Amino acid sequence: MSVEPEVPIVQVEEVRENPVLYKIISSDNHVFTISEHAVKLSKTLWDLITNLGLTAENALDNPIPVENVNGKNMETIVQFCERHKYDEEEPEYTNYIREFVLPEWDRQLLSIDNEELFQLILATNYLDIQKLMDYCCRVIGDMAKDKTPEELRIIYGIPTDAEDDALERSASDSPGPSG
Amino acid sequence: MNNPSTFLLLNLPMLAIKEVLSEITPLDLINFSMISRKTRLIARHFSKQPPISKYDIILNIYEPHGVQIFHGENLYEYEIVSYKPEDGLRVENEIIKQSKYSEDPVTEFKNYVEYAIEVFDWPVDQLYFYFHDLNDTSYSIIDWLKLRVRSTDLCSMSLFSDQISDDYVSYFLENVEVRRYLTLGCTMSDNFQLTIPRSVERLEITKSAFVTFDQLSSFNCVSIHLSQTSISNKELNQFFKNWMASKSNQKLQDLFIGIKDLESLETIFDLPHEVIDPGTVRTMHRLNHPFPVAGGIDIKRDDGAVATCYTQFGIGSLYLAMLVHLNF
Repeated sequence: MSVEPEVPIVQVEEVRENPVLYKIISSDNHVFTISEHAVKLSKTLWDLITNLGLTAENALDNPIPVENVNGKNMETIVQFCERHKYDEEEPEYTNYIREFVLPEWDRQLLSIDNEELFQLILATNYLDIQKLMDYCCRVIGDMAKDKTPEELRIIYGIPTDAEDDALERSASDSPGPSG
Repeated sequence: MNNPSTFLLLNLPMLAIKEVLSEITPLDLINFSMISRKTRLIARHFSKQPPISKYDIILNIYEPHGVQIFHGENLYEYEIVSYKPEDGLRVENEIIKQSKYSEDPVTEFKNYVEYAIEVFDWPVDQLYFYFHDLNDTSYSIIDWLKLRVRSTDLCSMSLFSDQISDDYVSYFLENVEVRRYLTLGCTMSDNFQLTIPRSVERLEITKSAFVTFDQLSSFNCVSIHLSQTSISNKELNQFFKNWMASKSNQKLQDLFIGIKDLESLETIFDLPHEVIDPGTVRTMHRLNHPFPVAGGIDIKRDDGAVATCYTQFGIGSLYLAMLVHLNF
């Protein structure tokens, strides 16, 4: 795999003993370096690395293209993963509410506009990063605190029943593929 | 996204929508379901999956009426009040409360509970019912509970009153299924005949002056906690003799009952027993919780089961405890 980056490589500090680094290329050709511990937080990326057979020796020569995630989101994701790479591992899944306090550092990281947050969640969902998904969903869930149904409709951009009905009618009225 | 202040939640993948709905509090989730038919369908869909399917409801049927739901370790309450409440959430006794004004709190309360049960199918896990106004409202609420409320297997029901409420308690127990735990804090007349449903495992009666020897013998529960009763020392002696002969209360593991004084023990334990050295400390269990017991009196049932009896001072009273040794 050989891709010429169009923009400077974003270097991520690897401070601990494990020197294995991987390169990721975003959909808009930004290149990111991420440590092994950090990349493991993404189930999708780690499965890819495992399946491609990337090792400490060949990892940097084989950048991983991620076509569904742009550079802006990838930068946030790499920052997040590097920040949390040594966190204690959490249970795979629980039937109960995951108890956590959103750390201030992460709240700052996720203080972005709604469109960016929306795109970040799509990227997080694609890359399967549970902790970041939990944190993003906490931020979105906090928007609902102590709001009436009418206020929630505005916050979450939810159509009224009448609007849904009108949309349904216009969809059924529009000509099908055969015209 | 046209409006930057809007987050188009329903455009997210279903998995992400589920994560968000699991994050928001149960009260906000109910409000979310009320936005439109579509959000009600989405809420109903995810209410069949954990963690939302694991929620259950606590009902407070007294002034002000309230519905409580745990979200993780936090307890949220939606209470319906007959005065203009303060805006916003507030924390009272570690419960995060949201208040709503209504001119008809009982109807509003019923509607809210019915809606939560209909959309989310959450069962009632605990119920606290205070027979404050001894009038038809209490009967109509019991009728409503019978028709509309499903309980969990771990359901705990607590009934309270300051006035004699024999008819209300009887009507409640005849009509509402009590699964495991029953706390009776009602004032009862001296000759009240309490019939405990067979499904009740743990019974606590805080105003138990009406309880007779015959009634105690008929309570076939795992745990019986009473305060002062009308049972004499001689009758209590007979009660333990019956237990030792496997004639009554075979399921009993934990008895807690008020006695008059330490001298009563002489009459009560006028039966075969073994006095344990006070320096001997053993681990006993109540509600599966271990705790140490020093000394005591051991009695033995004819099938080999052993129970330790000991006295304990409570609030203004002396209690006799009996704990059957469990084989863990």
